[in-house]
Amino acid sequence: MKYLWEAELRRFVKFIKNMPTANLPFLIFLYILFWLINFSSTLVIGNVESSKSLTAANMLGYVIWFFAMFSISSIAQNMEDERMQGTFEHLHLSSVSIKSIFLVRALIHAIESIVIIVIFILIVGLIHRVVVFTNVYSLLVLLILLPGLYGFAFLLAGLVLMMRSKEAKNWLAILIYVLLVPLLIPERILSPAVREIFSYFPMFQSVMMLRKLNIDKIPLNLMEVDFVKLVITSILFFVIGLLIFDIADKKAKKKGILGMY
Amino acid sequence: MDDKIVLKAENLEKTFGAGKKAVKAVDGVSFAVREKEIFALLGPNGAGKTTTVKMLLNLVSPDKGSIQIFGEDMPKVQKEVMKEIGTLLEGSRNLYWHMTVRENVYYFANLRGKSAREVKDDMEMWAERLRIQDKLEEEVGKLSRGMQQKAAIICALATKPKLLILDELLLGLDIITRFEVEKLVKELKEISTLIISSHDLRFIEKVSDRILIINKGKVVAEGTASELRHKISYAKYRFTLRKNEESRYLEELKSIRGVEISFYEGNIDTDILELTFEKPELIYDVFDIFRKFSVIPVEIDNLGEPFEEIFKSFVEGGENK
Ligand SMILES: Nc1ncnc2c1ncn2[C@@H]1O[C@H](COP(=O)(O)OP(=O)(O)OP(=O)(O)O)[C@@H](O)[C@H]1O
Ligand SMILES: [Mg+2]
Repeated sequence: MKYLWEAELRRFVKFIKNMPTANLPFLIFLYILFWLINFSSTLVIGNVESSKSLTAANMLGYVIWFFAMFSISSIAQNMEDERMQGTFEHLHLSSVSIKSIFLVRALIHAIESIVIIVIFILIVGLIHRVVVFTNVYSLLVLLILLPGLYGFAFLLAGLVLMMRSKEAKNWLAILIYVLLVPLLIPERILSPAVREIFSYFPMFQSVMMLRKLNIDKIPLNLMEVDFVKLVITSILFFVIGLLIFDIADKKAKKKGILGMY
Repeated sequence: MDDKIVLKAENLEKTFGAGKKAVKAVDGVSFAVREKEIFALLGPNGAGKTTTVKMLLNLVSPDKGSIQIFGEDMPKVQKEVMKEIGTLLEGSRNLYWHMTVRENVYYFANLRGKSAREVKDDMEMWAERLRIQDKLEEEVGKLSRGMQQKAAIICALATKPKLLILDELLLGLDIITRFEVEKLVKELKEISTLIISSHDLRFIEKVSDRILIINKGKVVAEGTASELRHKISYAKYRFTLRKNEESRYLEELKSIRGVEISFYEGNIDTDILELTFEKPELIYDVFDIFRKFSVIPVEIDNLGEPFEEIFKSFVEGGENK
């Protein structure tokens, strides 16, 4: 473990240096996507009165969606890319576990995603004149969400690792996009039953909590049940994700498909 | 210390796939590699060399069999053991293409528990040896195939490994570089133990202390290059004989068991004859006949048995079993 951070930080610096301007078009893309989502949700809800809080609510969903995509890309996508190239096998020849390598990578990339999202929130705030985060405990919610997100990403990585066919992988990618779409929808259009089910998934639960905290101005200490649920499901996802990844890794070694170059 | 076993593989078996599509890639392979020796895996395409190497490194898990490295059971202690092993994998990208050679060396050293400072000097030394010291700051993806292979070799060497496992290390290298690598490998023996695989028979014959020939997943022969020569005791000679009116000697030669006339050419003043012997001693019987018919050899050439032939005969012999 001793030099793992050093290694990954150096790799990351190189990555940033290679594409210093790539984040600008990315920010523009993020904004356009957000504008579309925001616009269509205004059409659905059709309430101009509360359009500011609607924008803020959309924005909160968008932030979590963004973090989810980012962690999936830095774990599952990254792993699959390296597997196709052959370096994934080499990472297995380390004196640290493959999980810690990808976890450290994900944490380092989280810094990048935070920088992007902060800039983005500022831009949206300026354009739409909304303050998205009003409660500092939002940070705590985000922090607790992190293990759950990474668990989800490892779970996906494990599934991909067990798959051989390209079609299956493509279907999985589409499925993920579909599964994450509800993050972008204002939850009040969902039925209570669906909302209840969603609350067991840390991503959805955290969005609902963030909206309560920042828009409905409910203090965190009145959300004890929600909070405990988030903590437990997040840790559970993390553990399950790592477990599935481990099983998948062993299976891949049996089939000899750690590398598929 | 000479006979210390660095790596021991016992009865490795691996089948890929199931049912009709099942391929038995490795079938009961055992071997032991001693300290400071160059141990070669040799075999035709698809023999199971890469699969064997990957099992040693726990990239493919064996169906059966056991592996010990530095006296420890694998893969239990793999993470510790990997600190002392340098590797080169066949056909894969051994390095990150968007990083420079130096960055790659540091990165993979870090993952093996070594700091950049620890490997810097060795990296620079090996880079100089392989004459790519001016390429250290270039991105690997922009280097030629042979340069990439050299960079990967440097990456494997920089951590001062006690054991080097190099699959197809000549891949993509030109003739001149092959000679360099040949010299390098022999030098490396002073400081490390090597397991190598290659298609290049001459290279393997020249550098290896011991050779394991595999075919269709099975070990068909094991030994030093000269032991392998001896196991195949065929000998082949070319005789140039002064012309003799008497041609009955040919008939008598044919009657010796274990001797075969593989080539005959009658010229005006000489007969050229190539004989294959199942045992080298049979040459005495041939001389007896020469004496009987007063045949005088003016030239005798030992055609020997090129290593290619030995290799072929082992592989084919294994197939006939
Ligand atoms: N992951 C895999 N899935 C299915 N079959 C495999 C897999 N890896 C190897 N094989 C098969 O196992 C056999 C042995 O392959 P291996 O790569 O070990 O041979 P090799 O001796 O290294 O050959 P080469 O000289 O071509 O590198 C081959 O028939 C190959 O097709
Ligand atoms: Mg091979």
